[in-house]
Amino acid sequence: MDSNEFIRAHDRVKDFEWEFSYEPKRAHYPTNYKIPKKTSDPFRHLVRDYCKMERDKDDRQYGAMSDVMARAKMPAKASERWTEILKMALPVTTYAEYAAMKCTGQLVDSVDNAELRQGYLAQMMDEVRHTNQEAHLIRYLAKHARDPEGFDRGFKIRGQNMITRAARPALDAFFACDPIEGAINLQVVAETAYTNPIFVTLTEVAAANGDEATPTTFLSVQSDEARHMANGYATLAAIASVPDNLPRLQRDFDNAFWRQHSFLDSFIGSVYDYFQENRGGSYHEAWTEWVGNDWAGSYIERLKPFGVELPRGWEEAKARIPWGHHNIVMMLAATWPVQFMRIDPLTPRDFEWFEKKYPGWYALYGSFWEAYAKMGDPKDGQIPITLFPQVPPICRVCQMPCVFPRFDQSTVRIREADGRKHAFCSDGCEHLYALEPHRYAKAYTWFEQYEGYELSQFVRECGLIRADGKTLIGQPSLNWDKMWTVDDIARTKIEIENPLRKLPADGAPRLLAPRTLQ
Amino acid sequence: MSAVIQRPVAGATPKPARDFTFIQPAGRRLTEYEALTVHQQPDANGYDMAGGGRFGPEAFLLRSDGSTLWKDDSTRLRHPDWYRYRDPAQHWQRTYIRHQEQQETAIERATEDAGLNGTLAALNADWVGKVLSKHWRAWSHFEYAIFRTLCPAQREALGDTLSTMLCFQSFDHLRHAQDIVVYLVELERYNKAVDDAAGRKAWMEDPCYQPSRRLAEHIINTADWGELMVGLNLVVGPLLQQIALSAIVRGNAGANGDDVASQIIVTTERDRRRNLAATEAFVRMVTEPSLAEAGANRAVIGEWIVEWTGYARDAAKALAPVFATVPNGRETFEAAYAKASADMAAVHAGLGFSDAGAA
Repeated sequence: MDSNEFIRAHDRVKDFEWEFSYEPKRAHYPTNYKIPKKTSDPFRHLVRDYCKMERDKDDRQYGAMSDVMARAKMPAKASERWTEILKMALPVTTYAEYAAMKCTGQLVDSVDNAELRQGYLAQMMDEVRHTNQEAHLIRYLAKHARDPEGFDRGFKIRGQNMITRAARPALDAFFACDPIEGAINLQVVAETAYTNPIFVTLTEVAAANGDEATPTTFLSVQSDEARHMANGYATLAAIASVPDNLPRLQRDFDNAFWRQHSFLDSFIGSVYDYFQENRGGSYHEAWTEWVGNDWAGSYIERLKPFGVELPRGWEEAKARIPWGHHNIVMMLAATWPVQFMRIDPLTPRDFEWFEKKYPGWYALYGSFWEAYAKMGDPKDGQIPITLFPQVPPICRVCQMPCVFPRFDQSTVRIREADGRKHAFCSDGCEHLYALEPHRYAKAYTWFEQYEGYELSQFVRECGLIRADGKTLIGQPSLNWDKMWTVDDIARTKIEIENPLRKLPADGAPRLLAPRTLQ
Repeated sequence: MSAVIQRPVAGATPKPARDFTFIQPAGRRLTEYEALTVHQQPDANGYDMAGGGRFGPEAFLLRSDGSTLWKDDSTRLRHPDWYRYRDPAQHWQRTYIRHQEQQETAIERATEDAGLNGTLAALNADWVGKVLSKHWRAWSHFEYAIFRTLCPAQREALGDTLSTMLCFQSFDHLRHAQDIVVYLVELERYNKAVDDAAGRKAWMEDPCYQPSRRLAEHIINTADWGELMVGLNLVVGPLLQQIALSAIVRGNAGANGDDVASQIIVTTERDRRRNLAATEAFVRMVTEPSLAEAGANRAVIGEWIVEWTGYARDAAKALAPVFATVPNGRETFEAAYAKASADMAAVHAGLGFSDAGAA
């Protein structure tokens, strides 16, 4: 086809829709938005071109992984500290892709615009692609990484893990809402603001730490994301062009931003900063470049003429960025027996890096990590969670421990509502609850679900034991000679308690920072 | 549910598994398709809650109307473990896209060759005007309707293997709709008899297509993903698409020297066979005799087959006059209809629904 024929073909494939004559058209996912029938088409792809493009990319990615990378045993040579975090991180990113597939299926039904519909189909197929690619990466690491345990069952464990289950309320929002609100969560916030830090910048960290499999997969994923961002911008511009949509759009945008920020910034920041061995930039720097400057400063700025402003929680989020994830990793490490990765203690070299990148870090977190490093020997039987005079509760809305913006300055508030006691980590999450309390009626926190479980019982029931039938997947170090067993855990006699029970209702308790090891 | 953590207990071999241990394979070994597809969709009723928790099933964020993310009543069919479903084609994205890329490349080359060697210029004006531009182009709207409806169907499907299969099936139909358009655009360069607007006009106004359009509207409106699988692949495909595409277009393409149209439809027939096999596996799974719900499921499927056969027969019969417009026609409507009906009945009989679709 020459270019004129291509344009003609493209114009005609937009013309499949018709006005119904025989049945009233049913909206499977009614939306409160008014959507104009004509928009600018973000990308001109026919199915034929799409298949060729994706096949080429697939061949490059899978070919590289199955050929030279496997023969050179590259995954086994990557930094162990880095490889370990992938056990927990990849099942989360894979679910993000799966949830996105669901979102785009809804959009095809709801957005009465043929050109966007076909763009959404391409995205739906992309999301199947990404789900498969990332599952393939996990399986690849199960096969080739030095320690496969954890990679072999991450999809099973992610729903029961204290930290990874917090992905659900953020990512479920891709397809649990008004379909346009779902698109705002997915395309406008998650993909446009956060896929660059995840799939581009994080790959630089991976490569610097000897992991070529993750960049090979992630950069191939990211090559599709530009199209998704364009889908999102086209959707947003179409909606914003109808003045009646603006009040709702701003409200949904505010909510979407807070939902995604609550999980994604802590998640990406943790992976980024704490599991580099060969150290480079910090998450704070990456966030400033991609989310602060590119997304807020450029992308959202361009929407101002339509009346779209920076989201409601922007300033609060910005204040949480330098510190929020440090508290989450501290909780992760303090509860290592329930995690499905080995968590390497930080070294003085790491301390220097953190202090340089986050001035004041050592005063806040240094003593915890020094204590953590001393608690790795199973003979001593010490679990770092015992350093905490008070364990923070988990937020009803974002499901993250209430440790923001800093452990010692937590904005946690306790409320009684709808017959239950709730902790909210922030004004943003309390606001989301107040808007739609019914949507959290079946949301339980990890502490509520597992309260009363003896720690070794949880470890057994959730499949956190290695193939030898006794050693834990989670370990407080990378030291193969000091591996904890479930018997070691049983000896600690630690029982999971729900910290919310001890906190007074309707208050803003001050959380106590962890003690240093005496 | 079906997923069993196949972890060795204490005393077993200390050698770690170097593969996924959380999927119960359908066969002896875990296939690549299973490894990359099964248990991607959370299952709050079982799989994701090993250990149970004190409250059991949970939902982190309910839908705006307060319902759960996935609903048992999204289909009238019932099964204790939807995650057991396996697509017989074992397609995951890479194998599926490779398959479609091969089909599209074959079509593209065939079109280019037919243009350059004079075949397209030599096509009979009636074939181009009445069959390709009018009939087949009208049918592109029907294929588009199937693409549309399978997108929300995959959203609601109660398992990952079902959702993924429905995504691919949806893509099949947009591919076909676009291939019709693209072929006509390319044909225009060589043959003046192309009249692209004729298809839409026929779709909206010609009495031959109104029962098909009525059915297309019903397809888009149908929410039950199980019903769509049964209706589209056990009835619409074997009967209506067989007549509208295989009999009218592919069956007469050879006699009219149109290898390209034949090539395109051959690829859609290959997709149709794949989707039929996927649906047969699905029906067998939900009517497996050991299943407590088998009888009720069988009754529901029987009901759907009867209802959709009614729609499809009306649509197929309305296409009878189109046969008279085909130059060098090889088959009468009556013969094509009888053959398609017999083939469809054989499919139903194979699944134990001997009488359900009888006209």
